[in-house]
Amino acid sequence: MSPDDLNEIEQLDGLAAELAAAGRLARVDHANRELPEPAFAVSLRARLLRDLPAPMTADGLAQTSDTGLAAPMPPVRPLDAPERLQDRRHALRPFSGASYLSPAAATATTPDDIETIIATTPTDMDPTRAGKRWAATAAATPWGGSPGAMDAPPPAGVGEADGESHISALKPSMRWRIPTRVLPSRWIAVGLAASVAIASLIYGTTIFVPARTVATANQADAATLIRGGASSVLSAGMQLHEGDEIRVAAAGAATLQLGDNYVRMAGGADVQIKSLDPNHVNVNQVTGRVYHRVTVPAGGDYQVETATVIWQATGTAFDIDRHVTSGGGEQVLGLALYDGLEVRGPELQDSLAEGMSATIVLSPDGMVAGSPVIGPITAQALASEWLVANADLDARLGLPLGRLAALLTPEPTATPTAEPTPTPTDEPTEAPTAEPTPVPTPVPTPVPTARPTAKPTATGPASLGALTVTNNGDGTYSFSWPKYTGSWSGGNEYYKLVHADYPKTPNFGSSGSDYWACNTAPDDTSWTDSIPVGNYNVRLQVVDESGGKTVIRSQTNIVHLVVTPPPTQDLGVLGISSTPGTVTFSWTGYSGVPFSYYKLVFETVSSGKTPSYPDGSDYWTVPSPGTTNVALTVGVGNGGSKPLLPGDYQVRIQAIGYPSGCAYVYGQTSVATVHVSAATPTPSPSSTPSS
Amino acid sequence: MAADRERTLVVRAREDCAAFAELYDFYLPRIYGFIYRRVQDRCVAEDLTSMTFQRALENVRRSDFRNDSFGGWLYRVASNAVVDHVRRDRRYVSMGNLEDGEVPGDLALDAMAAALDRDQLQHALLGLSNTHREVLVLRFYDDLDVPEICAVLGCSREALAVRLHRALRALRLAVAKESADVA
Repeated sequence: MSPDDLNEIEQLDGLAAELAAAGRLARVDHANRELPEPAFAVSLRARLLRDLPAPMTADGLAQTSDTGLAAPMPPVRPLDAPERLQDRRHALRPFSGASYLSPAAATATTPDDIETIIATTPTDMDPTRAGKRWAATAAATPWGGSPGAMDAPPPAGVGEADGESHISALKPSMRWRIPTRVLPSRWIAVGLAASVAIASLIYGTTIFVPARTVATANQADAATLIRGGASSVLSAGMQLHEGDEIRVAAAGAATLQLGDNYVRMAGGADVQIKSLDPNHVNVNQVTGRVYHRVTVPAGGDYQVETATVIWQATGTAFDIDRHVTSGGGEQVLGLALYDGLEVRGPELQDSLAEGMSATIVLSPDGMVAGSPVIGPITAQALASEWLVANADLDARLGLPLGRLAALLTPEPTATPTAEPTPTPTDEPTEAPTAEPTPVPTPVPTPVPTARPTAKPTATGPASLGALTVTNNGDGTYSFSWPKYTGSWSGGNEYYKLVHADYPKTPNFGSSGSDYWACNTAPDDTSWTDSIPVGNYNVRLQVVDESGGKTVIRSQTNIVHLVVTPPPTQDLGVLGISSTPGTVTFSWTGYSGVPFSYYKLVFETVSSGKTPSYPDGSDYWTVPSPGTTNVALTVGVGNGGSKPLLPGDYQVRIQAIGYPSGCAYVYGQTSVATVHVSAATPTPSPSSTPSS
Repeated sequence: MAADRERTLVVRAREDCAAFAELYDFYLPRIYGFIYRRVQDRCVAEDLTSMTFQRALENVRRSDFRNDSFGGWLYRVASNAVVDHVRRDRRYVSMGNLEDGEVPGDLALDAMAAALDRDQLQHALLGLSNTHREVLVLRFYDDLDVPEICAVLGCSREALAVRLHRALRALRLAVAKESADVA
């Protein structure tokens, strides 16, 4: 190998390394945008997997199944909904699915095998001749053809179908030999009526009473069940009924599951189950704070009563806090956390959109006193440990979170599971006491168990309060936060403004999120700088690294921040001067956010185009940021995509960046016209307005 | 994903939804990113990604599906979907930065070129022929492995090696020319 060869290999390796580094950089730079939206990923996954047929047992069967799907189907009758027809088809056509086929049928691949298929298909599976015809056609399709090939000619010698005309002649008979068509509708009606009468005689009329929602206590700590005036200790796993009242001691907690709805009761809460109708779940919240995570049935509702005020969920999660005020009345605070909430009562009718709250004062007689106070949920209310813990529990249950995702604390919590599995307990549960016990006494558990509690507790760092973000309009953002009042032991504690791509949770501790500000002094409570374009979740954390490990002492709430590119800045008129063989361009420097470079873009006058780099215009040179003039030599390349050649041009300078992966013009001059001659370029005396 | 594991999953996917789900979970972000880099439009990328996986689902259940490199096959389907999309789109709208004869992938190339430090190298890369640009983008920007690139380009490993070498040589020459022009 010659030295030249070696030199070339080295150069090629160097180029490859440069390209690989650029590719890596570009991938990192674009990584956020190149990830599919979670909603899209989930829905596509569900759609694809739903399309998958039932599991097969072997390749051959799978193939047969495909052909079975391709077999001609019975005609749709006018009165049949397609899905009902489909159900009936599967129910009455044992030969249509691979699992019904004999091994011979499953492996048949030639016309000669068809007779064998028919012969070996158990006759008791499908007594009709139409079934055999379908089976024959179904098995014939592997080499014939296409899905749904009703009219495809069958292979020669296929069972009873010896020719195309024969098959065609059979189609009408197939249509009318569907077993379900045999019975006249009046006999079906008579049969149904008889069945109803017999069933009512055997089971009584309760069989026709609408089913009730299954209600269970998923978790209960220091909670009492009051049923029929008698109270007992509520324990996990107990069934609940309409009329049951559940009281939780001040130090307790309970989670009730009413069908698909979760009722999480904080200490001191008291609720009564008024209705378990699947289409109308109604809970009377007597007092205390309760987080309701609901699945509103189509056409149904989920209601919470607080005296004369009814809160009706239109969506997914809300929180009601009812407590007695000093004046003898009560105050009810409702938070629409995920989707909306309707609130109504005497002379009261309001709708709370997601993110809104309503505060209602109740007089001692339960009537609404004054007007409700409606406004956005405050950041401090959102950052409460109760809500954060409930959002965390929802997340662990795999429930969609919506904007609750922003509340989540990623640190592992002291309560590892969301809804504990009911475990057997030795506690007496059924023996009621003589008198209702207002405040229950938790019975000591004989054997300590590992059963976790779902009680929302303080799980992460202390709340620092609200992070405030202000868009200054010039590409910079100001962040401010309450001062951390804990001790700074010295030297290794910092404020860190951590960010993560929305909707991820930013956290410096475990997930190692990026941050914008660090090593800020204890007294710092604000930070201002330009923020790259993106869609972020942001929060401030007080990080302590003094012990050799990272500890988050405190943190603010999470703020969803969407940063868009700033408007294009007008850089004024492009100055042009010339000397023989040289043209000098000057402009006012761009003063906004960081950008990549300038481009001196041009179009020929004859093209009629306005020069713009994102629109594909060529450029003569690429000045660096900070440059405000450049002298170009006529007739040669000046580092641009094209050399500066004699001609008439429209030209301007553009400050280009790639805030979202695509070229973006941060600033530009107006368009100028210039005549470039081999010897003496002549600038136009005027410029046209920027476009 | 290890080739053996992938082959096993493909075979199992004929009868096991979970196997297809695992393939989907692994390849979705890759295929979506591959497409997004070329169309720079979320909605279009989602459409083409759906189309790609729908086709994968249909094919993986066929007994005659060639199970050499499922990932490579997916990239090829995705690549074809992008080509079809751009051609179809070009009939109706003006693709400002696509000239006749150009193929999609230029948006990806632009992104990679923008990340290059040297202007000369950037210009040289943008000035290469489509054939050379394509293989360089697949290798250095998409970061596909050799079987995947072979599947996308429909060539053998040996042919790919030659093609990559030629592309780098062409780039070297173009850089030299750019440097000479500037000088």
